[in-house]
Amino acid sequence: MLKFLMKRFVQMIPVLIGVTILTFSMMLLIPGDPAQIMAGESASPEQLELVRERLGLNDPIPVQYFDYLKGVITGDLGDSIRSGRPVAQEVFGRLAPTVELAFYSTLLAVFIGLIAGVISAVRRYSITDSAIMFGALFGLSMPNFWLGLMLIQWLVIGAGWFQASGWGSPAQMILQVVTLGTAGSAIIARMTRSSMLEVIDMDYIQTARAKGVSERVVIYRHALKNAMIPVVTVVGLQFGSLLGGAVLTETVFAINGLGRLIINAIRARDFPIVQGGVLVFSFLFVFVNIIVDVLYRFLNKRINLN
Amino acid sequence: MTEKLLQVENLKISFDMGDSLSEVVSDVSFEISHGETLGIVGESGSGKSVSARSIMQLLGKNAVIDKKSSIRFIGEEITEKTGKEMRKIRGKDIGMIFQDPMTSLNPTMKIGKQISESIKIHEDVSKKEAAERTKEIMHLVGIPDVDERFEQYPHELSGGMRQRIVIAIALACHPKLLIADEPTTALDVTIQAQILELLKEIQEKTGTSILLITHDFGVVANMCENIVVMNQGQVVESGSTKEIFSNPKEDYAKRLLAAIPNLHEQKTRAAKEKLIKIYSGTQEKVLEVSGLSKHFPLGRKSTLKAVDDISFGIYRGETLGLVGESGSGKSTTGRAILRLHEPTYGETLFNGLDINRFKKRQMKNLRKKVQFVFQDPYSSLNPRQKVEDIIGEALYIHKLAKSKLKRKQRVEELLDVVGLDRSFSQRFPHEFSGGQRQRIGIARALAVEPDFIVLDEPLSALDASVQAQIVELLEDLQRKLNLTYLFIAHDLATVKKISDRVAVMYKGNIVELTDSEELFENPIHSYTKKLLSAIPVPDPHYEATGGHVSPDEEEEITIEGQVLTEIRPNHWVLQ
Repeated sequence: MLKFLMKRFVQMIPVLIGVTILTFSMMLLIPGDPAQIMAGESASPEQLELVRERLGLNDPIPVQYFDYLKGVITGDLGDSIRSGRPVAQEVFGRLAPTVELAFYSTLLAVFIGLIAGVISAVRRYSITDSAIMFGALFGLSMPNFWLGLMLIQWLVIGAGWFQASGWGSPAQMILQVVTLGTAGSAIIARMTRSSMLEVIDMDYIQTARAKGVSERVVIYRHALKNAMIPVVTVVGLQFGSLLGGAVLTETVFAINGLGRLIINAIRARDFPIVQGGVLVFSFLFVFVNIIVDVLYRFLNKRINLN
Repeated sequence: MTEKLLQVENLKISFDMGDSLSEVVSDVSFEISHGETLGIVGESGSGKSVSARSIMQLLGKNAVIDKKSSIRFIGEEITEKTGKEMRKIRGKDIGMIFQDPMTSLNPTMKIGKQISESIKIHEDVSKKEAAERTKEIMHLVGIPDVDERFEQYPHELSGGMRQRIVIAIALACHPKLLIADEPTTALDVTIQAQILELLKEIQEKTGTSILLITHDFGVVANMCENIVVMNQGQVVESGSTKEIFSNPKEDYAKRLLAAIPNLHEQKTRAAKEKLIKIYSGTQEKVLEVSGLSKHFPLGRKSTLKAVDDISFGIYRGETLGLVGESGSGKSTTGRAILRLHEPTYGETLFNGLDINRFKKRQMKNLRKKVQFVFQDPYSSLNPRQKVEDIIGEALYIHKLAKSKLKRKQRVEELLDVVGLDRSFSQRFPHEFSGGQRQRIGIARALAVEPDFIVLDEPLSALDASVQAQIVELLEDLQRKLNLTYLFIAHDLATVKKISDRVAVMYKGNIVELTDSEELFENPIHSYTKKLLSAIPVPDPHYEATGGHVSPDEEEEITIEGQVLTEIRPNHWVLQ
């Protein structure tokens, strides 16, 4: 197990280096001169040259990249143009709400998705099945910012049960998590249903029934554990789109998270923040998928950990 | 009169197809006494499995058992029981063994737990007691290193071992009746012999009754006192095994018995003449393989030598049988010869040229001369193509048909040749039975007018009566078109019937090579002997007189560093 983890972490290094190359190229690819943006529209040529010199923009590109990489490793992601504070401080200060939001949404998606998927599969072609699958299609097709706006309209403005801004108390979290987790629940429900249907026809399910095992145990202990294997992979990939979805959800619900930070930074052309934010998002995604990998191997006994 | 253990009367089962009922079992009756083994024999679709599953009430939701049907188990009516009552019987009083050990165990659950689960459900025992009982049963079904196996997962065991586990699950609570649904069909013949022997032993020790469902008359003769022959949902004949084997009354039973290849059948004169021609050296070699090897890398350090330095020749117009159990390298050999797997070393001379050095263009030309027929007629035909396109595709690739009309005509000719109706050309594969599909596969191979065809287990997915028809077709085509076959199979009996000479493969090597009669009458290599003795003989008298010697499973046959030597004229043995 330990050996496997070590191996996964080593394999991760090239991926992370790839991520830094991409975020670094972002700076090169944005239209306009970064020095001009930093120094402001009215800067004189001398001032511009000074900024360029300070940022190392006159160095050859590979040198610039290695400076950047050195910064990433030592935790120095540059300074925000707007606030002048270090990017690392800004980004990590906003990380908690985003990670919490994504985590709770994943939990909700897995919980609802699995239950709905199992029920749908067990009662295949029944009205319940049709209703769940219709709901899933609906949840999948609904853009989450729209769902968020509707929930605010009904349950915050209308009923007054929840709060529509901030992050921390349950009243500030439930709608937000539902908004972000709905699409995930729908995808997991559909995936679980088809995976369960496949497993339920397997011989070993008949073997279990022939032992006299009750139907509930057959479904949850024998079938679901096997049906989970492909679902776990989807959950990992889903986490990536949850991070993307967080950007929208945070904007709609005015949560001071990383997503909103990036949006505001884009508007203000505060590129070091955007760069740092994207980098942190990418790292998170890679880490989550390693966790999923471990989980996958834990569930699927046929894969040897070494 | 003592009470029977199980009495099935007027069993009638239909499946609800939505708007109509389709009857799959009609008016089936049979009974089993305490300690008896009853065989239900029939081909696929005969309703034998459905009947057996109805005893456990394990049919799908859409199955309807007729109200007049009766299934009495120790005097109690099974058809009237609720789901909860049935669960108390399943696994406790009736145990069930399924066909394929590769799929009938839960891959994510430890073996020990899968067996003890049954004990824990039905008996009030502590965890420790259940574990002890489980280990006893694992011991009973002949599993070595019980403590270690207890903690393992199914994929860590071989097929034979897994089937022992499946049997252990069925036996966990000492059931009065064991239903075995084709328990050895998915196994190699030597493993099959061990499992059948095990079932007999268990019956002696525990006195349980067995309901054995199979398509194989050899297995029935070996195991059962009484049999029931089923066809299309009905019982066509029933009685004592000896009686039915020696004096079948109904046509269907006669046909089934006749379809069993006879191991002691003499060769025809034509076949003998062919052999003489081959041995005298007047017949040219179509294919000559020398030093052929195919190694697969297993991780970084080790390699699997699937085929290890084998040499043989195939003469024009002959059928060379290639026999071996799973993992022996027989299929890999067939593929390596046609470069479907690129050989690691070795030469394959086809009409005198080494095809392993062929460039792309030469290979394309070669594909016109050599063809392949696959094992599984269900997955080897593209489900989205019409039969006309499946058969005619090669005509197009090799520019053998000038126009669409010509192509259509040629496809229809080919359908005639393999005994199918011309109108089939416009249909899709799913509309056909297994035997018909295999005929389509053969027509596809014949389309380019090849000289040489590799047949990779072309019969193993088919019923016995269908097998006989396909063998006949293949023999007929060989005579008419002067074809040469490499016939790969695990079933020795079929190989004997169709082959002129037979090569036996074991662990990537050919251990014995000679003409088929000589091989069956005078096997020399210990592995060949083991294989031959493991075949269940479809003759109850033979079995009853103790003619059957079951192979010793522990015996390890070494072949390291040995070479194929001609010990008698034209009889080569690895030593």
